[in-house]
Amino acid sequence: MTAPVRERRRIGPWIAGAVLVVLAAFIGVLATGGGSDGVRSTLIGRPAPGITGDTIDGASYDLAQHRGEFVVVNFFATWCVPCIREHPELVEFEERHRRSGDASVVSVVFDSRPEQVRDFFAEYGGEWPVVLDPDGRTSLEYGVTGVPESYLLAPDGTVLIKIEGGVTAAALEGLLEQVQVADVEGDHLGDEDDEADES
Amino acid sequence: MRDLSRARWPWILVLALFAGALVVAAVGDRGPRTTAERARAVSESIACPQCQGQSVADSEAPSARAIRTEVARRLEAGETDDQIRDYIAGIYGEDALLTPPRDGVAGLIWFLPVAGFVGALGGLVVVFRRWQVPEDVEVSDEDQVLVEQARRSTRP
Repeated sequence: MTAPVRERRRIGPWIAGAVLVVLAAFIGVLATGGGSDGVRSTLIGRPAPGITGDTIDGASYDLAQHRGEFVVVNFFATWCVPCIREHPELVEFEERHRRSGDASVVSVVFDSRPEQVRDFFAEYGGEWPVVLDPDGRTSLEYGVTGVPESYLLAPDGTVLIKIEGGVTAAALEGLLEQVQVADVEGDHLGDEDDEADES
Repeated sequence: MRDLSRARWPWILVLALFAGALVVAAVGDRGPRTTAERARAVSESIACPQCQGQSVADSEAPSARAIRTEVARRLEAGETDDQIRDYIAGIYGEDALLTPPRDGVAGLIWFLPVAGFVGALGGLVVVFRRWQVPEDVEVSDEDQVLVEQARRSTRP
């Protein structure tokens, strides 16, 4: 009568061990699979997706023609309050660099109608190209998840940094300086979300 | 021995039915699907980048609409469902996919439930085998006397 009891005791540690192995495996999966840093940095260091299309003025724009200068690609919407707040900063940055010709700004419309965008620029100023994106494909290729969102492109067309949230002229200038210093030292800028955020 | 074999038949039948159901679930319903059905299925497997807990198929956010349009366009161009999912994951990261990858450590998510089920089934088989009365049990004279006494005491 005692034999089955002994056998049952021998199986106990095996069951406990199996449960431990399964739990350890799940913990391993959770610990190694949850990183979200890739979402924001997939474009960094890679060639920027092309931007071609009509602007709100009826002209055409091609990002490839802006090689040799830094480009700030700004995704915005007319209904977005942080976009309205950052707009004067973009105006200041663009005016300063239009004279020197070393950097330019291009805006890509995110979910706003052309007439709304024209009214927006008439009210808040800004003389850079504003590219329409009717099917949202440009926003998709840049992985835009909300507005405002900006990308700083190097003169060779690679994506240097992605900025989520509003930018300031001072922060953009700081980034340009950082890039130039990094170029001299051979470093690269990483993904620095909100670094240039107003707040 | 014959009784034991007869007792096993229901279990064999249950196992056969279960295996059959698994096979039907695994290979059944694989007829040609329309492009719209495929687009819907792919969109359901991609997380909306602008919203929490919604798939691209269920969201009206601008980026979700853009992804749906792109999915349809790529399907029309002849890309496979996995190619499209890989394209989206390349932009938004692996977290954009609502179905975990089948390789790497995350692939354990697919393997562990099956391993757990097989282990549990094996455990049940072991337990049931233990519960069976051994065929070579010999009843001693003392046992027979005890049974006889018990019968007598319960007779009216």
